[in-house]
Amino acid sequence: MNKNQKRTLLALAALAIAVAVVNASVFAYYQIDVTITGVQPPVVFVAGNNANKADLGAGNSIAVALGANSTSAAITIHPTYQHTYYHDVLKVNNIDRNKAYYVAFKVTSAISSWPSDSVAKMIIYSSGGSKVTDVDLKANSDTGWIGLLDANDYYRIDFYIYYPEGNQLPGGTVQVQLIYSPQNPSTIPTLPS
Amino acid sequence: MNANFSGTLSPWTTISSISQSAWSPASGVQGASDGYVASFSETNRDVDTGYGEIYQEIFIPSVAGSSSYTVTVYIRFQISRFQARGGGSISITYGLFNPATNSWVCDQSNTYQGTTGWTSYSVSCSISVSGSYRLRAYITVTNTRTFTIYIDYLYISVYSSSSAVLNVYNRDSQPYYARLMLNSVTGLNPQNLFCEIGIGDSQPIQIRSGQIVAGETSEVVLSSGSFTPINVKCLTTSRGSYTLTLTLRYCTVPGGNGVCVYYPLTIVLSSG
Repeated sequence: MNKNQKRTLLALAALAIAVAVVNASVFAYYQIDVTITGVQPPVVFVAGNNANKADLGAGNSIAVALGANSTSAAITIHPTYQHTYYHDVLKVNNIDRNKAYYVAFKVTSAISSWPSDSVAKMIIYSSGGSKVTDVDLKANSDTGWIGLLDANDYYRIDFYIYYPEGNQLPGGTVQVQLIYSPQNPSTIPTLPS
Repeated sequence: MNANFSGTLSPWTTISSISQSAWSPASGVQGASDGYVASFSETNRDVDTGYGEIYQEIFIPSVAGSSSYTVTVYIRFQISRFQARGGGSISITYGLFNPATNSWVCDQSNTYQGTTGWTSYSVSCSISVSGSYRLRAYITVTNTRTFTIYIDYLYISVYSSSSAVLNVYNRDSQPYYARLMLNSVTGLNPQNLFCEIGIGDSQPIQIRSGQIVAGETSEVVLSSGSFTPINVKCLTTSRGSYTLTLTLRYCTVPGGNGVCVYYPLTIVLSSG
């Protein structure tokens, strides 16, 4: 290293020290008050008419367990080969007296190991019995906003499984999020990790 | 089966050996089940001997799993006018006829020497060979001058021998509620197909002249550990092959609620 290079290096070091001293010298603090008030969930899960009723196979039932505040649901079903349809397993109830909510479903952990020609769907019906949409349980995706769930109204959830014979019996777990909002932005936000 | 005569004798074939006697359709005949009949008559003409014949070609299809059939022919007729010339009579023979062997497979005859009221008969037999047959009524007249014979209906029912081509086994410990549903009928001439398909003691799916009269059975209970037969009774009036696609649905609760499973079922009928 020659003299010129040493000078340059010393000058850069001095400059860096000077900038650091200046940045550390002033800090501004603004106040934000956030008041958090919990509210009872306006949309809840409710067991369907066939929840915990007999399922296929000895001793099996359509097991539906709701969380302590009905904001989560765990479902176990026992389909067999060919086409199995589960009627009215779960409901999504808007128990808000006045407010309607936009509703979407998002598959966050899809079934991945089933045969390609198998089908696993969660089928959403309106309270009037009209089909609203299918949720493909074999693909990680969301439905978009499927509709505006009016106050004191509900969606009914059925399940449809097609599993071709000649394969090992179906199994696995799929995770689905129910998403609802008073607004309907063009894209459904993703939760932070 | 086209059993009645709703203003026409088509697709029936009629033959008369008596030059001026003829078969014709007639309507408004008192006591006829639907008002329409096939009429065979002669008026003021001496007939020493003669015959009249009415028949329809049918093809009893083979059904996998079934080797023989029980056939029953039903007829209802009336001799409304009868004027003999001493010892005159009318005989009516009806049943299933095999044109290949020119013989009756099963038949029954009745002879009359006067008018009759409406009279119903049936004759049953077992056949082991699917194929071409005639549903037939054959009338012989002897020493007559005036006569009129009305046939109200002539039809056939065919049952496979066991009446079951398939069984549904409930190997679970709980009952299920099942029915059959017809999805489609395909074939060269589906208008010539007649079928009844049932499960257990259900009300059957019914196909008449290719038209789906009842597209699904009533619901039956599949008891735990039971075998429930699927019955297929079909015949056609033309040669050909027909494919029926059905769905067996069974559910944990009645009325198609709860959990329901759907199995595909294909029945191929081959006739002629």
